[in-house]
Amino acid sequence: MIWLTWRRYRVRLILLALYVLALIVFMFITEHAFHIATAHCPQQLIRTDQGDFCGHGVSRIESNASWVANGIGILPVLIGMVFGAPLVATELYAQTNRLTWMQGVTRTKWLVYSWLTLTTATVFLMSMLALFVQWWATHVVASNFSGGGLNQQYPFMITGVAPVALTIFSLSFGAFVGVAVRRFVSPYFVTLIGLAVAWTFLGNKYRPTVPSDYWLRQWSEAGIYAALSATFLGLAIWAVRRWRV
Amino acid sequence: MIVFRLDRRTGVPAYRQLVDQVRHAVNLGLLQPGDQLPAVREVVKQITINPNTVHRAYRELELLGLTEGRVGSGTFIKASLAEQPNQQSKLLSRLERWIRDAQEAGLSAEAIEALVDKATRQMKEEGEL
Amino acid sequence: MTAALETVDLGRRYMMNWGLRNCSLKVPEGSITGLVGPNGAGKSTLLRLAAGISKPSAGFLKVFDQKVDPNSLDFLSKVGYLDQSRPLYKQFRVDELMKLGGKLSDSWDQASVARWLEELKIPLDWKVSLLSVGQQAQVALAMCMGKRPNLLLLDEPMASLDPLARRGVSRMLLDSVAEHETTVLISSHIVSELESICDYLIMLSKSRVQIAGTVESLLANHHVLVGPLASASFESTNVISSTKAGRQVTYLIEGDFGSVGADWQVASPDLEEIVLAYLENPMKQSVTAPKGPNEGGHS
Repeated sequence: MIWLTWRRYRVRLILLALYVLALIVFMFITEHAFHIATAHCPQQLIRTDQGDFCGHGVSRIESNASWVANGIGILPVLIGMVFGAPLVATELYAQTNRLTWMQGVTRTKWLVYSWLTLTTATVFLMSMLALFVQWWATHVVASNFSGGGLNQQYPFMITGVAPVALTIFSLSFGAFVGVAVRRFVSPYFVTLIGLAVAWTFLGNKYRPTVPSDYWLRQWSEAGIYAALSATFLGLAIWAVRRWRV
Repeated sequence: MIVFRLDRRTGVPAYRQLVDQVRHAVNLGLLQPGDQLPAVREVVKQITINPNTVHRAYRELELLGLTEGRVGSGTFIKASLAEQPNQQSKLLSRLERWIRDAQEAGLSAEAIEALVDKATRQMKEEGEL
Repeated sequence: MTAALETVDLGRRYMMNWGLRNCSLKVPEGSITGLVGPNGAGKSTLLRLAAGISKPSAGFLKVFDQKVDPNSLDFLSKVGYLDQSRPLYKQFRVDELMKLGGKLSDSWDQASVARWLEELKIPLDWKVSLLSVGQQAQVALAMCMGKRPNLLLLDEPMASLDPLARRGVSRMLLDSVAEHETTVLISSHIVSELESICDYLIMLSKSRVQIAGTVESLLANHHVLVGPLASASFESTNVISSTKAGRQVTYLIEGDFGSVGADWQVASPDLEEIVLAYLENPMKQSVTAPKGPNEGGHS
């Protein structure tokens, strides 16, 4: 099953690795630019219209940095749609699940092994990315003139263990959608909608009280996502075992 | 080696056709005592036929005394088949003696044939033949 | 006879429609059993139920005297199933599919699969999507047989194939059966091909099992009688079909018909003719078919 999953997803996994690599490169570039800016620009000149670099230049650097941040932020959702949803959905559409099942693979093993293979590979890449993001965010996002800290909504979601937790959740949710919605086109759509809902709901907006300590909050959020992942994955396994034509 | 043929248009069951082809080959001398019949898988390759049918034909041939199976090697025409002509000639001379006896007892040729016919039919009915 | 597959009053319902109903039959172990019947009679449904892909709505079924359980590795190792859609990973190469078979099943026979495909001249390094329909069907069957199951369930494996491809499928199947004594249940519309490879025949119609007997006994017990309309009366026999043309009538009957007059012609029908007669008369049952609980005497 591990080989099968790799063989099905190898192009996508390689593309994901390249994407992560590109993000890391851009993080280096923007960090370097920030480093120069903090070294050479007096605080009062930054983002004023005076001077070429410290005026417009810093704004441009900041917008580049936010593009990088977006690129990191959408990754869990992208992974959910590109890796999670097709895991079961394409199999049901092409009926290749019948091929695999009749070879002597129980349904549980079929779902769990393929999900685990994908999760291990993507979590590995996301962890590498997360290490770099942590370094990058403390220098760029939480820098002297960017203001704020890592505990605000957006930087929070892309730093620490949040990206990894979100990835695991997206994969579980996507797999579950693939089992529950048994037509080819809509699993992607439903996964996107579902993840967007999870994003806004679990984000700052609707939470009544938020712990002020950054890492405490990181681990408790990760715990919530872990519980949700287990739930959706469990539901998917239960549904697949029961499934009959 | 014998190559089998199947004629699906006749009403004859497939296994019977195989048995008949072997008997025919033995009678003509195309298959001699000690010759090996093709393995079931070989026959299935020659003619697209159910392997069970071939098994059945080979079992029938063994029951008829035409072949013997050697474990691990295959199915062979019985070596002892060569002795049968001797047996047959012995039986033939005994039959001729009996016919002469019946003639002396006053039976005509037709009566003798009818007697033989009656005896074989009776034995068939009783399951002895 | 030991039954590789046994069903008792088996039924499967989709919403309001019964895909299969009151189906009771036994498939003899070690046989190659043909499964025929009109579209919608439940052939595919029966095969899916036996494979564990469907679940019964009524009655039950057993494979080698065990419950059908698709979540049991023991069951999955014994039963092979080829769906009508013949699923394959189209973007994989043939040898990658073979590698997949080896990885998924403990009893995968790589050597035999390679030999079958070589005899059929299928290039192993080609992507499946580049193969012809016939070759894809052969690869799909090889994938099914590669793990050497004890029971092989094939849903119209020869449909839409040219005669050469069909021959390749038959030969591959028979070679495997000759080697491993597999029980095969194969559904098809091409009765003439079934006649040569099957020793047992099951015929389903929408509401009953019409035939469930050995091919040999079916051929021996059915006759076609052609004669004048006026002098026809067969009381003790099972008249399956009757066709009138002018003053002449043609019967296809099962069983003894006693002696008929000289103005009657008697012929032995082939299997296709027999099956056609039952297809045209879906209420008729052969004496070989098991009687359902709702049926008393029938004609």
